[in-house]
Formats: sequence, structure tokens, C-alpha cells
Amino acid sequence: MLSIIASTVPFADYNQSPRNMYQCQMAKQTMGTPYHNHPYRMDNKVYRLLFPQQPIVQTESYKDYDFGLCPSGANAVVAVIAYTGYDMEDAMIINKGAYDRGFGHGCVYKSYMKEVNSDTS
Amino acid sequence: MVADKLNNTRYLSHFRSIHRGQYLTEMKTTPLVKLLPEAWGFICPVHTPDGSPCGLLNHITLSCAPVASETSPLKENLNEFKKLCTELGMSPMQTDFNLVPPHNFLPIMIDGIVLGHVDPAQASAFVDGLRAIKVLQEKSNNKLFAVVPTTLEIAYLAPGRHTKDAADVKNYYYPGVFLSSQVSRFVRPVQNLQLGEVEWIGPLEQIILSIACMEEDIRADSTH
Repeated sequence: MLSIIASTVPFADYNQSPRNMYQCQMAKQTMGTPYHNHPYRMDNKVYRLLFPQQPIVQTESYKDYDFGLCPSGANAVVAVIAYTGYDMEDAMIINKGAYDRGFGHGCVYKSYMKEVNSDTS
Repeated sequence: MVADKLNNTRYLSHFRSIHRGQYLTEMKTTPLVKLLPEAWGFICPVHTPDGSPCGLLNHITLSCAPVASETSPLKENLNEFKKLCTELGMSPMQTDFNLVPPHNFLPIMIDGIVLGHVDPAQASAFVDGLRAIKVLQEKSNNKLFAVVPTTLEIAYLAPGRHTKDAADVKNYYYPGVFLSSQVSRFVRPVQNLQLGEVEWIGPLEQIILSIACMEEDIRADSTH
């Protein structure tokens, strides 16, 4: 009865209903794995997550549709709140060790057009 | 809308989305954003954006299948289908005599064409018979049964409670047997309890069926 994306939300039946709707929205905004055929494509701009992970909790349809082949994030250990309180609401404190090891690293591929004149070589 | 490939899920949901039209997003009233009983199981109640296009940009469910092609178009086998319906109890429309069916007879429509009429007393048996053929035709060797598409929508809107005569009912319908066979419809598979097979149902027939979600939801009147 749910759409493909809504059915990949883990524990959707334990969530407040708007949270499930927000997740459907956010799953589509992730900078994850857009495709696997990069050498054969000519996209103008492509974003990619460098160290993506499959979620440790997966629903049946997540497996059925092989979303694990195009992972869209990483499993993070999250604290409810840190000592200083500087991570309240929508702020975040990232572990430097994790950051240095590549947590959340991404890259952008940008394509440029260059015309080559054969006469002047 | 651009099918951008930021990630796989976004790309995928572009192809499973339905937009109800730019005009409606500018409208002040909101009755159209409701998720109605006929949409249940076809359109996802969760997967819709918040904000202005909420309820107007929807996504189809996992099991919902838009009918894109007909394996054997019913239009080409209409005479065989008519013969089959007649055997099931339909009084066919006669073109050469101008026979008028009794006023209480229910029309049988196929894709908007009146195929014939059926006695209200026999309508239920007619629909059950046609449904059995639809569901079991793949297992049957009868050539005549093969004209019935497995995705045929059989909506039997019985006269009675939901007709115009009942004053307390807000959404009444015109009684009759309405069959749809062509493309651009949604169908979804459900288990037919009586026949023990998978049946593809459409939105209009869904509102008159009694479908249980889970095994424990099955009641005495459940059909699927």
C-alpha cells in the first residue's frame, strides 16, 4: 500500500506520520550514489558520496529493489546532545576523527565543453 | 519536470509520480487533495511533498501497475466477449430490432459502450461468473475464456444503498455493471478468497469489494 520509497523507511509504523513524509522527501535529496556507469555518461554536474554505506536496518522492499547497490548515506552514531549544547536543534558537532577518516566526504564531477580547432592544431 | 539523477531513489520516483496539474496548485479549495477509498492501495498516502503540491503530486504504490499494453485487445474480440456475456445471463443489445429492455434492467458497459442489459436478480451471478473467468482463464483451456483480459475491471455497482433514491448517501452512483479493459488504468494484485487465485483489481471495483489487509482482518464478508 506504500510507494517504493515510503516502504524503505525502517520502522515506519513506529513513526509520527509527518516524519515518514519528510523521509520520503529527504531520501530524494541525498547526495549518494547516482549511478555506476560514470565512464559512459556526460552529465553536466554530478554529486557523489565517497564512502557510502548501506543502512544497518533495512526493510524487505529495500532489499527487493536493491537500493543497497546505490546507497545514499552512511550509518552514523548519534548522541542525543553533546556537552556544550552547540548541537541543539539543527546544529551539529562532527567527530573530527570520523571526519578525517572520510565521514560525509563527497565529490562533484563537472563537465566542460571545449571546442578544438583542427586548423591551428 | 526534469528527471535529474541526483540519486537512484529520486530518479526512480520521477517515473512513479502523478501530478494532478498546475492549475490545481493555484486553487484555493482542497477537496481534491483527499485520498479517497478508490485510491487506497494505488496511491501512496505517505509519499507526497509537504507544501503547496501536497496531495497533488502523488506516487503510485509498490503493487500498483499502470496498464500500458493489452495482450489481446478486447475491442478486437468484442463479438466473442458478447457471446460469453450472453451465456452468463446478459441480454445483448440488438441493433436490428429496437428491443427496449425492462426499465429495471442494469446496463452492462464495456469501455463506455453499452453491451447489453442484465436482470438485477441475475446481475450478481453474472458478475461472479465473469470474475471467475477473469481470474481462472489462464488455467483454463477454454478458448472463449481467453478473450477476457486478466486486468479487466469488473465494477458491479448494485442498485440499492448507494443509488440516488437513498437520501442519506452523499456519493451515489448510477447502478450497472461497468467493465474496463483498455490501457491507462491502474490495477493491483489481490488474493481472491473465493477462487484462491491472484486477481488484478481496479479502483472502481475496489470500492464495492471487501478487501482485508492482513490475514487476521478476514471477515465473513471479505472477498479478497
